[in-house]
Formats: sequence, structure tokens, C-alpha cells
Amino acid sequence: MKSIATEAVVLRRTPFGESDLLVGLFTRDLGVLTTIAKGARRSRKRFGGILDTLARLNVLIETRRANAIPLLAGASLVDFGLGLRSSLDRVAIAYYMGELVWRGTKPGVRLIELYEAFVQALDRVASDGPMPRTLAEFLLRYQQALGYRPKLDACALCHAPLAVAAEVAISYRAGGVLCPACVPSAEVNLRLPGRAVRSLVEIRAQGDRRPTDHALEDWSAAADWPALRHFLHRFTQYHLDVQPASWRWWQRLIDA
Amino acid sequence: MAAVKDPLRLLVELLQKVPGMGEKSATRMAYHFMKAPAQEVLGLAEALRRLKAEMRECEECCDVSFRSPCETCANPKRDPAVICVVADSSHIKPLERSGAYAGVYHVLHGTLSPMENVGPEQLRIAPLLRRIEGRPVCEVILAINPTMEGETTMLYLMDLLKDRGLRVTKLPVGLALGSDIEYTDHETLGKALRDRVQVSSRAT
Ligand SMILES: [Zn+2]
Ligand SMILES: [Zn+2]
Repeated sequence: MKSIATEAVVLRRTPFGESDLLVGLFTRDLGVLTTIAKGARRSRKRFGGILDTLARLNVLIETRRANAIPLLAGASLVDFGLGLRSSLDRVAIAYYMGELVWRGTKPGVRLIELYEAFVQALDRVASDGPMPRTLAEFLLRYQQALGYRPKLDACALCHAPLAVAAEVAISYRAGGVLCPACVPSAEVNLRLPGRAVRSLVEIRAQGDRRPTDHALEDWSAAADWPALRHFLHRFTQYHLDVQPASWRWWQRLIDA
Repeated sequence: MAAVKDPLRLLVELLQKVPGMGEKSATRMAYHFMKAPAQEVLGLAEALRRLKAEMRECEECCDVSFRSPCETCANPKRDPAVICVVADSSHIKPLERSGAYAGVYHVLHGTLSPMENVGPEQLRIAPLLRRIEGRPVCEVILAINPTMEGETTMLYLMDLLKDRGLRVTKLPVGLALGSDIEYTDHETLGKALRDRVQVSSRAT
């Protein structure tokens, strides 16, 4: 038996057997992982109410025999994400990010950078941060962590640096933006305003550095967000096998 | 030809579909039925048959009931102007045991769950709105578990119910009776502190 202490965010909860709970976690050190919390539904002594979706915990995981579900031996609360519960938009974005992590990454594979990006994004969504910018940043880091980072500053086919243009063609299959010369020979999925593409390049260049509030305001005020959101989602979707349910859920809210 | 299943094994398999029923309990129960008097077991089978044939949803509150309107909705002593919204039928009994409530209920049959794609259409939200529009309602109490899914559902309902000229309330999050502050998580304590109630005013 091996014990691992790590930090984790709860992504899924499924009742199991008579009184147990299967808890799907995104852990800092073990990637996504389904663990079993014994007796969690019968007694609240050990876990209280902290095994809630999107709660951030310090956990103790015990791996038993191969093929056995790892045991969630202990958990203590780091952050309940109460701020997420202040608006439906925040909830929807948090679930969407969580589902991308759950469905898009391989169980047991450590992705520390993605974990950091995820908790940072959750924090910002929970604390009144500008949501479009936060989500765009998270999706770019998600794509990077999973190895399908879109090419945005040079043509995805011929690698020619991209000239400043009012509109830029994008091909998912080619892997990013296209220069005018390559457009006829590729499948174009959508066109984005040139300034929107440049703002993504800028965000990516800033990396982990927290942008100034001024930059945030500027960006979130941009009229390009619906188009960017569409692009970032579709590009991610192109590389995933499944359509995240929470995306459809959120879109319905936006449309309503 | 398909092989006929041993009825004992079939029963164990079917019982295991009951939420919270593991193989051990299912087997224990199946053996109990095997040894029990035939009349008792057939009575149970008949009750199950009638359950499916005769139980329906109350046209008012959507709770499962033998009659529609259900006993609670038909009770003239209950105040129909106050509606307590719950996620599940099983939450009515504990609220009734509190003895603190004399209004009527509304059962949603679930909570909004983005990752499972459970949206408003899957819940009994439209019947709730019809109820509110159809008669004078002065208060809607949201008595839904303060989990992420529960809070999501309450947010959605609060949005839907605003500007309708009615009071919308929710149960506060705080200390459970008999609990220990030392063992209460800090978020619950923070919420309890923020939502504290006044017990006496400052002497002037
Ligand atoms: Zn090119
Ligand atoms: Zn009723």
C-alpha cells in the first residue's frame, strides 16, 4: 500500500454501493483520478460536507492492489469555491473547465501546470475576476498542456509570419491561423478579427504573469469575445472525442 | 433459445439496482424472501405492481402520490400561498418532522447538473411557474441542499422568480445542532458568521 498526500479539486461524485462515494478528483500530483470515499454517504464524521463538486482539498490517497480503486483516506478543506456560487455564469464556466479536465486528460497522468492553471482560473472566476479573459487564458493553457496549442502568430501550414490583417482565417485541421496564400489549399473553419487573434497571442505571451487590471478591462470589453469563445471551444473540441455537456448547458443559458 | 435465469440470481441482480444496495444486502434480502411465507412475498409483488400502475405525480406539487392533488395539496389547513421547493420527494418528510412548516411543497425531481447535462427542462420547473402564475403566492422557500448542484439550482430559480412580486427565501447555511465548532469546516463557519442573527440590541 502506498499513501500519497496531494492537493485536489473534486470534479465528480457518484454514489457507490451501500454507503460509499466515488469521488473523481483532479489531483496536483496524480492527474485525474477516481477514488473511493468509504462510508462517506452514511456518516459525515470523516468528510463532513467537503467532498462537494469543485471544492479544493488536501487529500490523502491510498493506492491498494493494482486494479482496485484508490482509497480516499482523508481530506481537509482548502477552498470551497463559495464565490463560484454567486452567479450562474461563474458556475457554468467553472463546470466547463472542470469537465474539460475530466474528459480531456488521461487518468493518473500528472499535469502540474494544468492543475495550477485550473485552480488559478477557479480562483479568479470565484473572486469577481473578468470571466472571458480568465476562460480564454485557461483554454490556451489547457491546449498547451495537452499538446494541441494552436498556431496563432504564423501560418500553420507554411510558417510565414502573419501580417496585420482585418480578418484571419483559421483551420482546425491545419492547427491554427492561415496566411492568405495558404487559404485556398486548406479547409477554413472560421474567420476571426485580426485584433482578436493578436489579443490571444498577447495573453499567451504573458503566460502566468497576472495582467494589470487595465489590460483586463480593455480585453473583456472587446466585442470579439463571442467569436473568440467559439474558436477556443471548437478548437479544443476538435481534439476531444466528446462534446462537453456543460458547454451545451452554458450555451443554453446564454441563449435563454 | 435464451437460457432461463435462476430466479434467485435474477432477484439479486434486480435488487442491486436499488440505490445504495450492494450485492451483500441484495443477497440477504433475496434469501429472506425465499424463506418468507408465500402470502407475504406475493403481497409485496402486488404492492410493487400497484406502485407502478397507480402512483402518479400530483398535478400541483409534482410529488409522487396515490391521488392528485396529493394529501398535502388537498389539505385545507395548509397555506397554498407559501411554496417550499425541494429537489427530491424524500426531502419532504424531514421538513415535515420539523413541525415548523404549514405551507405546501413543490418537488423538482433533481438538481441542475451541467456535467450530466441536466438542464431546467429535465426538472419540474415549468409546473412551478404555472403554479405561481395561476394563483396568489406570496413566498417561495428554496429548501435545496447547499451543494454545488443545489446552489446552481437555487441560483437559477432565484433568477427566474425575481420581479414577480413574491418573497423568495432560502435556508441559511450554518452550524448543525449538536455540532462542534472545532470540527466545523472554515467555510461553513465563515458563512455562519456572515449570516449571524441578532439576539439582543445594544442598550441605549
Ligand atoms: Zn501559409
Ligand atoms: Zn401535491
